[in-house]
Amino acid sequence: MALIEVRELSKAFRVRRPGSGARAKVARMFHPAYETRQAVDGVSFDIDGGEIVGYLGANGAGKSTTVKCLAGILVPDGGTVRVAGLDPVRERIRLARRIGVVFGQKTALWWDLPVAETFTLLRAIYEVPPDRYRTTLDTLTELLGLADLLHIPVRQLSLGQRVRADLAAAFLHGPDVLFLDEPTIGLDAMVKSNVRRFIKDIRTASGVTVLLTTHDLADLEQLCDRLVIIDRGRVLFAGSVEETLHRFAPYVRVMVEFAEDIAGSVRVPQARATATADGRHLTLEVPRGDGAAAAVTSYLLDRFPVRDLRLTDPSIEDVVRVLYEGASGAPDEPAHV
Amino acid sequence: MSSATATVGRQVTLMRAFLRYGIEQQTAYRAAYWAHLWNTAVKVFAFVVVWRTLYAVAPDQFPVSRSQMVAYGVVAAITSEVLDWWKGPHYYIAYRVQLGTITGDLLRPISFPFQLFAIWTGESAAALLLVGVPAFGGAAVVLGGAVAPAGVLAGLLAVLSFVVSFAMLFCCSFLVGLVVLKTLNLLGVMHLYHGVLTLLSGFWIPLWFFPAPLRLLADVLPFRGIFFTPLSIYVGELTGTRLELALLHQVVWLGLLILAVRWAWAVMRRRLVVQGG
Ligand SMILES: Nc1ncnc2c1ncn2[C@@H]1O[C@H](COP(=O)(O)OP(=O)(O)OP(=O)(O)O)[C@@H](O)[C@H]1O
Ligand SMILES: [Mg+2]
Repeated sequence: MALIEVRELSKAFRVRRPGSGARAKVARMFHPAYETRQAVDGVSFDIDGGEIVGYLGANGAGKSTTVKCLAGILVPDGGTVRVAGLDPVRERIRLARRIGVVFGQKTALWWDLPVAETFTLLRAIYEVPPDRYRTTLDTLTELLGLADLLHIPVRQLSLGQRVRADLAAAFLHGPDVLFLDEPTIGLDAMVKSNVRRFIKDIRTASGVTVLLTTHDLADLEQLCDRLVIIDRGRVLFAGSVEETLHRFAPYVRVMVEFAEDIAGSVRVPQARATATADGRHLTLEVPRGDGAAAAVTSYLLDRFPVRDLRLTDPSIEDVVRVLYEGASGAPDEPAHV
Repeated sequence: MSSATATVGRQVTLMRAFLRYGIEQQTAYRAAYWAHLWNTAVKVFAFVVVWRTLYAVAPDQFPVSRSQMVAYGVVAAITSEVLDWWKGPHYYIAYRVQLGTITGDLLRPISFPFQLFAIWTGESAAALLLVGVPAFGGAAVVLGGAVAPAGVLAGLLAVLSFVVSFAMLFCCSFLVGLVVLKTLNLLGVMHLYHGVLTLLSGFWIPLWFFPAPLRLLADVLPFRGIFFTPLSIYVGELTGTRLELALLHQVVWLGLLILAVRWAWAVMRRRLVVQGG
């Protein structure tokens, strides 16, 4: 049986529709008009014990809402959810002991409390046995580099420091499931890679199951065994990372700036032009793997007066867009300007 | 039996942890702490001056002696500062809902009302130690025996009554806080609540001075149990059967309020909206 089971989950928000214009706005104070916004619309998926699953979709797709329903924070309108065999609504308190949750954008910690004091309070709340608490705390302090932060009140932490404290807090009671909602948002590259390593290490060590939402392709590539992609509250695609990238973003982007205008004279084998701002700039999509990116780069450098050249991964937004448009995204014709 | 002991042990651990939380909270901002102490002193001073003046003008209007009235004012000023009731659980709920950080509270393996109660108890206990005790000590030095309770028994019963009143105040504020979940706007409701509490709890003006219809209303409603009952016991105005009835009034209302809290939370929980992604 899967550790997390989601069947036809749906959740709508009722929002007041303000009138347009001052008069209508005042009138709405007396006769409010409402509209429903379907945030999650029949989502189903399973996650097995020990998996790290990436949950992705464009802004507003319904990821955070799903996570809140799974964690027992929001009550779904429909569908069934089981996390570690428990119903998040009716058994919220029992479930709370078995899950750890981090929302990257907002802390679950107490603003004025020093980090160490926060951990002490959580220890009491979760009734962690003293010896286990010590070893877990030592491990977390080590893995997340918290030693220097322990005496600082949460309100004085930088974003990256706070996220690390939040991660430690979410793991202090040894949960079976971690829900991480954009844990790497706004972090610098160094902290990002620390956080990723932490998630990986903790999974190896404890076999924890992780559901992770992110907009960072590198998070997915480095961490996730599987992906679930949603759009407008519905599941678009579920599969392994390889499958997803292979199918929907099988390219690397090469952005070139030439030193002079070379309009009309560039032909690059193995690449497809996606955007050409003018005669000096060129964006190419090059197939992933097989050294194609290296070949294209050296081809360009050999033959053209290149001033600047950058390689970037396609973003999750690209993947989602491709998915949504149903395009195949395979490079077909050679690029030219 | 042993599971009951375990439960009690757990509550004690929790309360101790939340007391530490309260002390952290009270001392997090140095300036705020000193301002709090200073405010309390000013409030005590104001209450004493007002009641002494009124007493001098119309002593026959008072059902209690001048020093009893002073004690009433001093303890009212200090307890209300310690409880910080205008920034109680309703304020916490509003604040956390508005920021969307209420998610943090809902992730903990304790019932939400109980968690808020523990937080507020911790904060209030810390305020009692850090603000209440020094303020009362200062008042005792300046005013002498006037601030003492009517007797040992009166003092003990007043403490008991304050414990009940604390729980009542928590329930009322929690219920007001839930209105915030519904309206996502606190200010209007908060002003109304604070007005009602200021008037009907007897914190500012004892119910003795109320005209008959208002007195009747205040007698029936729960709010008098929050300040008027314990304070009247403290100064020795409430004794015998009237005291027993007043305590009964408190306990019955507390029971009803606890039921209301449970019911309201069960209903509101389904409608809870978390602001912000
Ligand atoms: N408290 C709320 N009230 C009204 N609508 C809401 C609320 N929370 C979310 N929504 C709506 O629900 C939809 C899904 O929101 P959700 O936060 O789940 O998106 P998301 O996938 O997490 O997006 P992002 O990548 O931006 O974090 C959005 O259209 C949003 O406007
Ligand atoms: Mg989100």
